Amino acid sequence: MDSRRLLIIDDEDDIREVVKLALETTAGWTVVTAASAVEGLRSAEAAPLDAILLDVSMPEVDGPSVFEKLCRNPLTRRVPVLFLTAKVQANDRRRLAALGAAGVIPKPFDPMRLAAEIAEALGWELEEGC
Amino acid sequence: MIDSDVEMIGAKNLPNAVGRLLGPADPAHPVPGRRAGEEARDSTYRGAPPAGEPGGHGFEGWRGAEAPGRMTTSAGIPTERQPLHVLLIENDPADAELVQAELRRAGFEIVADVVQEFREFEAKLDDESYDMVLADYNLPGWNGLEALAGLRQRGHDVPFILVSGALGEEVAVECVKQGAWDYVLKDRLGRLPLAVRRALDEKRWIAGRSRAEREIRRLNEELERRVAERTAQLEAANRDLKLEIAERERAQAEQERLLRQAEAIEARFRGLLESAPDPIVIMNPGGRIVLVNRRTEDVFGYQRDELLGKPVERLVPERLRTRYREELSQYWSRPHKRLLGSSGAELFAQRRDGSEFAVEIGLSPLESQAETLAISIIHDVTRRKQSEEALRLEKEFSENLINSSFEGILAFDRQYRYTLWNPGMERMSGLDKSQVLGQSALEVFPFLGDSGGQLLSSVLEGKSATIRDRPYRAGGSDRDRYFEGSLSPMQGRQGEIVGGLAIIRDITERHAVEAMKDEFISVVSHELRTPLTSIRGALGLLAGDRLAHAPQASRRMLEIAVANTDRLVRLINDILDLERMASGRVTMAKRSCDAGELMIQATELMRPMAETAGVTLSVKPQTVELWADPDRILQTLTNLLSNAIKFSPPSSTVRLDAAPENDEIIFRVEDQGRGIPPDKLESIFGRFQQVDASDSRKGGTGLGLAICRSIVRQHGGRIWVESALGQGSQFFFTLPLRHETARPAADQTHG
Repeated sequence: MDSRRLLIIDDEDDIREVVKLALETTAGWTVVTAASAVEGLRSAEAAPLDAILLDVSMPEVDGPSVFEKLCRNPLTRRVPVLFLTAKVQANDRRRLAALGAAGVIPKPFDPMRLAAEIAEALGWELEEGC
Repeated sequence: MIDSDVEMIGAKNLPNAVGRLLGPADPAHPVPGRRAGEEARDSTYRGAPPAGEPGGHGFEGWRGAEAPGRMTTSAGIPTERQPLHVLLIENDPADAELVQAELRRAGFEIVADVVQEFREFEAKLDDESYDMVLADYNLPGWNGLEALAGLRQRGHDVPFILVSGALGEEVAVECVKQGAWDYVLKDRLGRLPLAVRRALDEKRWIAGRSRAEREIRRLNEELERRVAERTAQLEAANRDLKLEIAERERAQAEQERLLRQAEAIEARFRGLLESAPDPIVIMNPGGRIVLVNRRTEDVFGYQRDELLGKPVERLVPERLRTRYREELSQYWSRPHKRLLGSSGAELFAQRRDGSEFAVEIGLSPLESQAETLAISIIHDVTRRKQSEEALRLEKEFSENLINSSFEGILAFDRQYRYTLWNPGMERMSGLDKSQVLGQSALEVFPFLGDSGGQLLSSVLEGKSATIRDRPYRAGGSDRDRYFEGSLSPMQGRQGEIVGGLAIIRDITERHAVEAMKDEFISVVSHELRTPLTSIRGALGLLAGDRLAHAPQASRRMLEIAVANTDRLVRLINDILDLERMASGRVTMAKRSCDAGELMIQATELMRPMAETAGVTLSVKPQTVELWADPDRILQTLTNLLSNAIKFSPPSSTVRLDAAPENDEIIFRVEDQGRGIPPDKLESIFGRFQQVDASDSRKGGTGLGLAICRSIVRQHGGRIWVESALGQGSQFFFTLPLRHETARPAADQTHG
């Protein structure tokens, strides 16, 4: 199994659960979850990560703000970030892309292909059979 | 008085030598004796009259008429009764006495002054006046000839007679030549009285003649003057006559030329008159028609004969005749070219059939032989009036359009300077047109922003442009507003582009609505996609066959799918409900119902949820009759109770009560939850405006309060919240108590 370790920051419980299950079962990655920006930033510092999946629309501190904080933090700034967003209108996507994230994954997504999409965006090789 | 007979005798006694000498020597002083007896043989005298005489006739005639005896009456000549004043030049006193004695003996009364010296002689001549000078020839130191010369020198023509001793003939001749009247030898002194008498007579004759001569000369001069005068008159008259003749000839030539010109002009004028595009009527000062052209017949519908000699008012409508007469009389008081009907009151002409048409009449004087006529050229201005009116209306219309337009309308010239700024622009920009006109559109109110110059110049190149949703700032404001509009080039007469026109409208409100709509769509999209993401994810994993050996995870995924499907359904229902109410497609099915019953119903409905949450639900029902849609009121109450329970900590109480107040009932739902921040007290009634996004996890759609507000408003009530953070919230809504008047039954069953 792949030993990659990812963090998902999303305020929707069900979505975190689905994403975690999807990446664990399809790619064998370790997935850490956070339900808010504050929790997510703490988790990102706590242990090394290969990537962060970041929800855009969150209460209190939204995704882009979290991304900015991650980029400024020396401990986290090298970790690639992919936005997960239900805001799929063209201008929303342009705005996000302009921030410099590694990718944008629109909601809803195909759980069976999510790992492949992430790997593709980050240039990872997925192990055969996964 | 000297007798003429004596004179005749004296003349006969004049020595021949002297008589010969005197005649041709001095014709001005002819010797009187010649006239009587010797003139016949002196042809020289007759043929050559004395100098100064204009001609011989007058002299001859005068001489013939004048009798010699009449000369004795001449004035200034001494008579016998007056003493003869004699100057006697004699150095021998004895001789002097002899001479005087001789004269007295002959009957002369004399007074004589005797002088011997030349100086003495001169003094006497200067002092005294003498009738006669008698002089000796040989004097001591001078002689008679010198005396004669002295006498002549002084201009005296007094008779001078030499009384001398022996005198040679040559001396005698010389003396006579020099003007001596006579000479008497002393030894023949007896001849002296005769010589004196003859000299006196001669003197008298000469005096008479010179008077006659003067008269003749005067007459002659008068004659000459008159002749000269007359001649001058005649010459002047002649000159005048010549001038007049020349003038007349010139005038006649001019007249002939003018006549020819007039004929040519008349011929041309007649042609012009007949071919003129306007009716031309010539009238006399009496206002009668003298001449009309063909066009007059065509336009007015009269035959020429029907108009000639008739009052010109025939061509004017009855109602205007008085005014027309006044205009005409004004014209005749000072005939000069003028235009009637061009300004002020309009002038009309009338055709034979009574129809009228607007005219302008050009009046001008026309000189004819007998009198001054007036030419009136009648120009039909109906068409012009119509087009002027049309133009005026069009202008008024466009001005109205521009001024009353809600849209901002502006124009600019080729230098981008504003040339038009309507009230719409003033409203939009906050700038008065006086602040803007003539200013550059790039500097004052640069409504097109940074790309303005480019856009304006492309308009000046003939391109039109549409502007959409462009921000601008009104004068003095720091908030963006938005406009849309169009830009188009404006063309001049030759099709050249003289500037541009912009019509713009403020769409700030619409822009805000659009932004809200976009935001709403974005939010709805997000809200719909969130449960869908969970559903899709869960189902995807189940379908992916990866969970075949993980029944727990599979069950969990199914639960997620079901829960999110419910959430999605609620969401869709709420959205549709709200939209239907907002669009007015849902009417409240109002009927009489009891507030207390509805409160109890709502509490019962929410009791399971409260129990689950460990929250106490307390209700104080108020029995009040309402005129309302009970289902909707129940929906409102359960929504509020549901919210209250969701945000209440366990073991807390949610209370529902109501109180009538004035004309309405006030419902209250009170909780002891976390409270609502002051800045959200208003906004939570908006769509998807949960205080916390995580609130959606509590099963809310984010539309509950928006729906409540909509229902309350449709019943004519109000809804609001009062809250203190950490202490809980109180939601209030009112419903009016008074029954509305009966409604059509159909309305009640609707919805």
